[in-house]
Formats: sequence, structure tokens, C-alpha cells
Amino acid sequence: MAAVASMGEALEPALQGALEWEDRLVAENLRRIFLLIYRIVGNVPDAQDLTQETFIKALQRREQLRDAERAAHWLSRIATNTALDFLRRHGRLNWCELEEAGEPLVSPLESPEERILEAERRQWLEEALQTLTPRERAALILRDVEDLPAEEVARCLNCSKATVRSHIANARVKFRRFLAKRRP
Amino acid sequence: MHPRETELALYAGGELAWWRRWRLSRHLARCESCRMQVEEFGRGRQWLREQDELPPGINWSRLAAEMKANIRLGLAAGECVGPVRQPPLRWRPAALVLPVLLLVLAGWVLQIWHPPLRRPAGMRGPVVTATAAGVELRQGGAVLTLLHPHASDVGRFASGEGVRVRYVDAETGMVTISHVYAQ
Amino acid sequence: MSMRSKLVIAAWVAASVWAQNEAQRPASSLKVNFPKDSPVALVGADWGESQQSARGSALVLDLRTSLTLRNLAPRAIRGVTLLVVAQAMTPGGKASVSVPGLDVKPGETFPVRIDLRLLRPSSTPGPLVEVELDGVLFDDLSFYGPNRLNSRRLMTVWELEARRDRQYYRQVLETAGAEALRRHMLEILAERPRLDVQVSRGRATAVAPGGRSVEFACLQLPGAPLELLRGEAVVSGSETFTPKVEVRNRSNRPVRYFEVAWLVRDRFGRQYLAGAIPAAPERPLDPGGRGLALQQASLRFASGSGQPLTPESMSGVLAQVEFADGEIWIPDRSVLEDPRLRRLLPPSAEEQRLAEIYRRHGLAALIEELKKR
Repeated sequence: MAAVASMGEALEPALQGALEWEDRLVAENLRRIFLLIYRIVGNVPDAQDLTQETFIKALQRREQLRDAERAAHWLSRIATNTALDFLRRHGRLNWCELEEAGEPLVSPLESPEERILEAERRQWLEEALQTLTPRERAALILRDVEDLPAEEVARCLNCSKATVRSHIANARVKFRRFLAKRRP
Repeated sequence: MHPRETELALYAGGELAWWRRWRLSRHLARCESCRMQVEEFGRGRQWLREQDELPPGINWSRLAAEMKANIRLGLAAGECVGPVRQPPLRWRPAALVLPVLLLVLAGWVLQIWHPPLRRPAGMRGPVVTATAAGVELRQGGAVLTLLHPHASDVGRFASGEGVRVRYVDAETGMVTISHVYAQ
Repeated sequence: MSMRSKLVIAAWVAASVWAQNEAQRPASSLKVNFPKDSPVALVGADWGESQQSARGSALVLDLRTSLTLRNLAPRAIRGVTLLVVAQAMTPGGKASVSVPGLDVKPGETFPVRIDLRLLRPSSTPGPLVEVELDGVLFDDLSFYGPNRLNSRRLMTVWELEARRDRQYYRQVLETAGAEALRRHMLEILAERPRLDVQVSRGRATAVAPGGRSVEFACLQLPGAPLELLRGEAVVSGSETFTPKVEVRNRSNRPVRYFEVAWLVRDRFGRQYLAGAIPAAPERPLDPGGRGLALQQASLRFASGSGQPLTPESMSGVLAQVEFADGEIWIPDRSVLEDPRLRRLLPPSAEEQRLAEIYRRHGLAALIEELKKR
């Protein structure tokens, strides 16, 4: 037992500190990243796999993170690219073009959220997101949910600001039209 | 002349360049219908931001624990792997088999996700089958499946009297061994 | 018929259909039978999502429960085996649940999870399910219980394996450090080739025509009390019948029981663990005597992708021996490091438990666990 007791100090303090930083990064961002990826890929098992992959990639490259405060944005970028790469590889493409989204059928005066029950709301959200292309979906979530500036969204999606604005605009229009159609 | 819908959408989110924003705001001051659209885009953004609920049916604490464990495992495997063969790691060694369970509870027909071992001519009497989906007992036209929805199967083999299956419980980490008897 | 009668009948039919199809909680029909002198007591039972549902003339009992037991004995408990019975007459009516790797001190409580499905004729009277104690193994390897399922031998094997493997990993930690320990855990957690297995027992099994006899390659273990002489099984198509292995007792003690681990190789050269062939001696195997391990069954195998597997060759290796005096032999740890066996034989229950501790809580927690006992 004495030999084993000495092994209790096997983990050096520096290593312990790094592990605590990793654990904190994961704990503080896990739910947000999971939801971000889930909104893009649309199912839980893939979202779980890709969330794990995101954190592993991020932590393996942590020396690239110059500013710890930007870790959240950095994670969002890795998560988005991981999810989009996945959709591209697996050909999971199911969206409608802007022209097909159609015009709202009822007056835009009433707000949708006042009439929607919780379960319906969730389902509508998922269906609405599925009408977007993967990049539109990612752009919308990063801008309107994650609240990243447009420049940061462009960096996440590895495209120009003009392209990302186009994605955001198309996404919002399709989103609005879809929700308006689903109003009772 | 009204601006395009996409322009109104960008206006609502503040993504327009300053001079286009100024021009549009002058139009909105005069045009109620465009103003209504912009408000609707704004409400849509707000609504989207508020939808931070997890998908239905998820036990978040369990899922989070699972993901944290697998992240740690993935990092460790990455550190250990060198030029030699990398052992394949399952992401979800203790994942719920909830979709499988739902299919089984829906009726007697089992293992549509997994090519079944067909009962050959030589096999009469009760037959016990152990697969990754669980342990199944067939007799006559009836089928019964033993499942461990809270655990993952980490070993299954024929024993003297049937099949022995070892599980690791996803919640407690305890190892449980179940023995299904063929007679 | 009046409208009121029609409504009454309709309501009665609806109620019957509902009663037939609707899952009902069997909480009041579940019985835990521990003897009065039992070293464990039932403290609580969460029958949770357990349900029963009718299927024709049978009931399907979906048991999802966690029993909380308390150790009433003066010694620590290392393992528990419970027998769960809906009915004992036909297959599907009983199963057992064993929990090895415990370290429950006197007075402490511990959970035993039961996730089982059992079949029972609807018309059978009495409690739907009875849970009985087949055995409790203590830290000094003493045993309590009726041992109807041979749980004493099984749990003792698991406990000896646990001690062997804990000692081994403590040595790894001491001599090679934490990183070596981590690599071992990753190897345990890595996917091993596993077979899907189909077993049919009993005299009704018949050898299909065209079967061919396949001989076993016998892997000898240094220091093992039994020598494997020869083995064979009949293979017909993708079905394997009645594997048997002949052994010789080269120890100086009679042997009451033994098991031979059975490995099969497919035509691509991939090897898998098929199962364990139990001994079939009618009386103890005397020193120098010969005996047979035999599985009176027909078996079919498939790989993880569902492809039927036809064994091209087979091997056997001695897995456990129980002497007539009750002492048990298991292979030495050095045997498991043999490259021929390393990736084939599954990790012990204790190795699985340690690897799970590592996976869920990290290396520091694993090191702490190894320090405990």
C-alpha cells in the first residue's frame, strides 16, 4: 500500500490546473454548444457525437486560443464547422428555396408567440430550421441566438461578410414566413 | 417603392451599412406595413433567442455526464495514440438504447435494425439469442426480449444453460451480469 | 336493445379492452423473499417504470427496478446473486442478476438494478414476480445462500479475478506510472470483436446432415491443474453442435467442475470468444483422470454486422477450475498478456468496473479506487 500511496501524488499541480481549466470550459459551454449543434443537425445522437468531437478538437488545439475570454466564440466556430462538415459528408440536405417559402397567409399584426403552446413551439422551431440550408441555419443561430457579431459569424462560416449577410437575411425571411403560415 | 424583404430582415438585426440603414429608416417613418414587417422580424429574433429548451425526452444530467466522460476519453486516446494501430473507441459505450427499446415495446417484431439470426432447421425448442440489442428468447411464435435500457452490453456469450450478458450501468457504473436460461 | 344498454355494453367492452392493453403497475404483485437469517435485508424497492401487459394468454412483465439492500453481516460483501422468477416451468420465466465487484461494509446499503423481461401465464396464481437470494459472497470468500444457480462458484471466480486484476494494475501504476495505467484502461474500453450468439439447448437439437467435425486447438496454460487433450464440435452450415473438450487432471486434487473458454475463427482469420463450455463429469475428476467439457446445445454465431459466421477453426483454453474441496483456480494474469488471448478474452468484471471509473471520473479517481483495497 505504501507504494500505491506514493502514486497518489502522480498528478502534478500544473497538470491538475490544466485539467481544471478543461473541465470548466466544458462545464460552462456544454449545453450551449450541444444546442447549437442540435439546431443545425436536427437530431440528438448526431448532436451528441458532434458536441464531443467539438470539445476534443478544441482542447487538442488549445494552444491556438490566445485569449481565454474568446473561448466561447472559438468553440462556436469549431462547433459550427464540425456540424456543417458532418451534414456535407452525410448529404443531409433538406431545405426550401426562398421563393418556395411563400408569402404569409394571414395578417402580420398578431405575434405568433402569443398563440403557441410549448410543445408546438418546439416542433415549429425544429421544422422551421429544417427549411433553411445548413449554412443559413448556422448563420441564423450564431447571429440571433449566440448573438455573435456578423463579422464573427462570417469567420465561423469561413465566408465573406456579404455572404453571411445574405445567409442571415434569407434565413430570417424563410423563418418568418414559415411561422406565419403555421399560425392558426 | 418598398425595400426588399431581405433588406428589412437585415435592418431588424442591425446588419445594414450605416447609409443604407439611414435611408431605410426614412422610409419606415412613412410606411406602416414595412414597419410592421421589421417589428415582426424583431419579434422573431427575440422568440428564437428564447427557445433554449432542450429536445424533448432528454435526461440532460445523464447526457452531459456521458459527453464529459467521452470527451475526457477522446482526449486521453489522442494523447496515447502514436504511429501504431489506434484502438477504435465507441463514443457511446454506455448510451441509452432508447430507440431500440421503443421499437421493442411497440410489438413482438424485433431487431428490424439488425439482421436477425434466422432460426435454422436444427434448432428446436426455446432459442436464446444475444446481440448488441439485447437478449431474446424465442419459443414457438413468441419472442421475448431482455433489455437493459440503462446500460450497455459489454460482453455476451453462451453459457452452460443459456446466455450470460454483462452490462455496465450508465448511472452507477456498476457491472451487472444477467443470465437468461434457455430451459 | 335500448340505448342505455348499448352504452353500458360499450363501456364494459371499452373497459375490458383497456384492461387488456393498458400497462398496469404490478407493484402490489412483486415479492422479495429473503430468508430470516439472510445477511442482506431489503431496505427499499423502487419499482419505477415496471409494468405488466397482456399478450394473449401470457403476461409480459417489464421489470425496471432498483432494490436497495443493507448488509446485516459482520463482514464486507463482495457479490450478490438474485434469482428473479415469474414462473419456473417454461423458458422466459426466470433469470438471475449478479452484481460482482462490491465492497459493502457492515451496515451499509447498496443498489441492485433489475432490468428484465419475463413471461408468465396469465392464469397462474400468486405474486407476479418473486425475487430470491441465491447467494452472497463475503470478503473472506465465505458464502451464504442456497446456491441453486451455482452462484458461489461464479462469484468466487469473479472475486478472484478482481483481486488478481487490482493487484496487477497497482503494479502497473507502481512500475510504469499513471500513463501506462491510462493506456490499459483505454484498451479495456476499446471495442473488442464480439459475436452475436444464438443458443438452443436440449435433446430436441438434431444435427443437420452434411455436418463436419472440426477439431479444437488446445491452448495449454503453464501451471494449470487440467491439461486440454482434444476438442471438437460438429459444424453444419452456420450452425455448431455440441462442442466438447477432453481434459486430464494433472493436479493432485480431485476436480469438481471446470470451464473451457471457447474461441472460434472465421474464414477471414478473425477470432472471437464464443462462450464457455462447462464440465460434464458425473463425479469428481480424480488426479490423473480424464473428463469432458460438453455443451449439449446447438449454437449459431453472427458478427457484429449481422453476417452469419461459420467457424473454420476453434480453440479452447482453460478458464476456471473448482476443486472438490471448494477451492477455485483461475488463470494467472500473465496468461492474459499472451498475444493470442489478449484481444479475445473479455476483461474481467472488475476491469470493466475500473475502466468505467476512469471513463466517468478520470485517472485520479481510478488511482484512489486502486488504493482502497
